[in-house]
Amino acid sequence: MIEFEHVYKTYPNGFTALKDINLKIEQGEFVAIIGLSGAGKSTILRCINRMHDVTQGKLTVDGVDVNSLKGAELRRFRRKVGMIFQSFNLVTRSTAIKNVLTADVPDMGFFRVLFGIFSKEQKLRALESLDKVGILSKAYTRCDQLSGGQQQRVALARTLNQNPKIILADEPVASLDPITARQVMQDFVRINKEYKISILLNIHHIDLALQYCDRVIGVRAGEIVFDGPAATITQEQIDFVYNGKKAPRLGDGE
Amino acid sequence: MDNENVSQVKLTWFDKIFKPQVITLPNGHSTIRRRSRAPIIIALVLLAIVLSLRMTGFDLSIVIKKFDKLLDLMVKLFHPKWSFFGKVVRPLIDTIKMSILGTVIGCLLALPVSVLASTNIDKNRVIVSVLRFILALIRTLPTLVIALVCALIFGLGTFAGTLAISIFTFGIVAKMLYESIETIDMGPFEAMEAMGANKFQAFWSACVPQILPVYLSHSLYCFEMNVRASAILGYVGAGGLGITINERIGWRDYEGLGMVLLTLFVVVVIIEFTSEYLRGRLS
Amino acid sequence: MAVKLKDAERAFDEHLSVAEMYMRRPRMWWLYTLIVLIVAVLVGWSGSTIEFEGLTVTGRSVAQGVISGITHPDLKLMFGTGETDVPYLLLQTMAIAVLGTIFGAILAIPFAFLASTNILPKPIAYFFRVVILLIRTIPSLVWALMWIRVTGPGAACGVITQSVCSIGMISKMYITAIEDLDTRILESLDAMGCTPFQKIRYGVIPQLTASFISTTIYRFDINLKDATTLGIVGAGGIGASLVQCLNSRRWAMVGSFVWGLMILVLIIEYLSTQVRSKLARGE
Repeated sequence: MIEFEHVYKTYPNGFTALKDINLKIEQGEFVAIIGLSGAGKSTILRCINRMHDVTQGKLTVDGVDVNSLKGAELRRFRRKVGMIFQSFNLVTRSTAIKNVLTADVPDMGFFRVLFGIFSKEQKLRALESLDKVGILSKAYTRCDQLSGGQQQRVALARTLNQNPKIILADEPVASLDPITARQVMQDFVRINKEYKISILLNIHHIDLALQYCDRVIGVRAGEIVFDGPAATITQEQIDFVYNGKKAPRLGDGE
Repeated sequence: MDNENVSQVKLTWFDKIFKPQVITLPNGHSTIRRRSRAPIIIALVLLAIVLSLRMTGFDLSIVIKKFDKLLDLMVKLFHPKWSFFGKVVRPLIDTIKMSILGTVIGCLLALPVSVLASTNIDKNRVIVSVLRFILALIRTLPTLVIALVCALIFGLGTFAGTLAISIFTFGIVAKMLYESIETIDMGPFEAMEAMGANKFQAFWSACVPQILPVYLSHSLYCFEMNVRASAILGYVGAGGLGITINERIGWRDYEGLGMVLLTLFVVVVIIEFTSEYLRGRLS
Repeated sequence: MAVKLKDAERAFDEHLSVAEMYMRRPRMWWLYTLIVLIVAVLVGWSGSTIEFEGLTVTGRSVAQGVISGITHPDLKLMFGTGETDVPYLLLQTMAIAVLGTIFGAILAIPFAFLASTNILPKPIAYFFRVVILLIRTIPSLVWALMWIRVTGPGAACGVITQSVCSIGMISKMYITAIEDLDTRILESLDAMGCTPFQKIRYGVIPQLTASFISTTIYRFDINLKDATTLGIVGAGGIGASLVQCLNSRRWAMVGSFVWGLMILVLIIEYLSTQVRSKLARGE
C-alpha cells in the first residue's frame, strides 16, 4: 500500500511541484495519473521510490517511511519497486537477455558484477521474464535491432525480473506508435491482473488511461483535482484537469 | 515591419565595424546582407605567409636548384639493400614491443582518469577541470622530448621509449575517451539506480558496456599511431628502429635506410589494416 | 554466432520453451577468453625484453633538474626579444607550421583528386593511395634528415619537410570529403545548362571548402607540435635549443622553453577547436 500524507515537494530552484498531496493506493491497483506536462505527474512517481526527496509530509510504502531510508536500506527498498521509462533506458548495445539480467545485479557480489557472471538459475529466470512479455524469441538479439515496442517489453521484462510489488511507469507509451502503445498497455493490464502487482502510470493520452486503467488521478499544477474510478470521470472533470485545454488523445499527432 | 526583420539577425562585433548592407525589394520587404569576412581572412593569411617566409628564410629556388640531390637520394632509397634485412628485424621487434607495452600501460591508466574527467559521471567540477588541464598539458609535450628526458633519467634503451609512449598514449586516449563517455546514454544508469543498484553496480552494468567498445577502438587507433611514432624514438636513444635509422643516415647508407623504411612500411600497413578491420567490427 | 542467432529467431515460429531457449544461448566465453589470452601473451612477450636498470647514476639529478627548471624558469629568456629567446623561437616554430601546412594543403589537392575512386578509375586511384600511404609512413624526422641534404640545416628545411609530410594525412581526409560529394547537385546544375567550369565553381567547391579548411586547421595543430621536435635534427624552431639545453643540463632554460611550448600549443589547440566547431556548425 502506498500512502501520501500532506506531501509537498519543492525543487532546489524554488519551483513547488507538489502541494499537499493526499493519496492512498492499495496493493494490486492499476492507476493512471493524468495531467498536462509539468503538472507534477513525474514527481509523484519519482517520490515513491525516492528518486526525488519529499520536502514536507509523510510518504509510506507498505508501512515503511520512505523519507527515512538511507543507503543500503533505500536500495533494498527499491528492489521491490520497478520503474519503466519513456525512453526505455536499456543498454542498446547489449542483448535483450543481458538487459534483463541486470535486474539481478544489485543482489550480486563485487566479483560477480565485475566479471558479469550469472548462474544458470538467473539466466532461466531472465528468459522466463522475457517469455512473460512474449518476446522470448528475441532474447539473444541486440536491443538496437528491436522496435520501440519490443524495447519497452524488454524493459518490462527487466522490471518483472526484479520481482517487484509495485511498478512505476513514467510515460511508458509516449515514444511508441498508436498500435504498439495499445499492445504495451495490454501487457500492463495482464501483468497487473496475473501477478497482482500495483501499477502506477503517468500517461499523456486520456483515452488510453480511461480504456485500460481502473482508477484515474488527475493532477493540475501540483495538486490532485480528480481521484476516482476511470468509469466515473466526466468531460467537465477532464477539462478541469487539463485546465480548459483540449485533452490529448492517441493519434492526435502532437 | 522592416525594422523587426533587421533586428532579428544577431550582429557581432565584426558587423558593427563593417555595417551590413540592407537590401530592400521593390515590394518593400527587406533583408540584410552581412559583409563577407573572406577578404579579411585572406588578407590575414597572406600576411602570415609573408611574415613566415621572411622568418624562415624559405627559398624555393634553392629547393629547385638542388632538387637533383634529393632525387639521387630517393633513387637509392628505392633500391633497398635486401641483405640488410637481417639487421632490421631485432630493432623492429623492439619497436613493436615498445608500442604494445606502452599502449597497454597508457590505456589502462587512461580508463579511470577519463571516467573521472567526464562531466556526466563525475559531478565534481574541480576534479574534472584539474584532470582535464593536466591531460592538456601532457598532450602539449612532444613525444621526442618526453623520450629524451626519460632516456636521461632511466638510461638509454627500450624502457625509456616504453615510458614515453605510455605517457603520450595516456594523454591522447584519456582525452578521446572522456569526450566519448560524455556522449553515452545515462538512461540505463538511472534505471539501475531505480532498481536498487549502488553507484558501482549501476556504472559497471549500465555505462561500461557502452564505454568498452569505444575504449578498445580508441586504444587500437592509438596503437597504430604509436608504432609509427616509436620508430623514431631511437633517435634520442630510446631504443628501437630509430637507432638504426640514425645510424644509416649518419653513414650515408641510403640503400640500407631504404630497407629499414620498407620494412617499417610493410609492418605499419599490416597493423593499420588489422586495426581498421577490428575497429570496424567493434562499432 | 550468426548461425546461433538465426536459430533463436526460428524459435519464434517453433514456440520454444524457456529451457530450450536456454540451451540455444550463444556461447561467447571462449571468444573473450581467447582475446584476453592473446593480449596477455603479447604483453608478456613485450615485457620480457624491456630492460629496466633503475635510475642511471645521474638520473636522480636529471629528474630534480627538470623539476627545478619547470618551477624556476629563466624569465629573461622567456620574455626576451633576441633571436635565441623563447618568443622569437616560438614565432619561428609557428612560421614553419604555417608555411608547412599551407603548402601541404595545396599540394594535397591534386593528390586527393587523383586518389578518389569517384573521379578516376580504381587502379589509378589505388596507386595514388599507396603513394600517399608511403608518404605518411615515413616519419617526419626521416623526411627532415633527407631534406637537410638539399636545403642545409635551418627553418627552410622544416618548412619543406612539413609540406611533404602533411600531404599524407591531409589528402587522406580530403579523399573522404571528395568521395562524400553530393552528386545530385551536379545533376541539377546540368539540368540548368551549366558548363563544366560552372559546375565545379557552384556544385563542387562550395561542398568542399568547409571540410578542407577544417582539415587544414586540424593539421596546423599537429604541424605545430611536430615543428617543435623537428629542431632536434637541425630543421629550425624551438626544438633544437630545447634539446641542447637538456643535453647540457641548463635546467632553468629547459623550464622556460617547456613553458613557452606548452602555452603556445594550448592556445593554438583552443583556437583551432573553436574555429573548427564553428565551421562544423556552418557559420
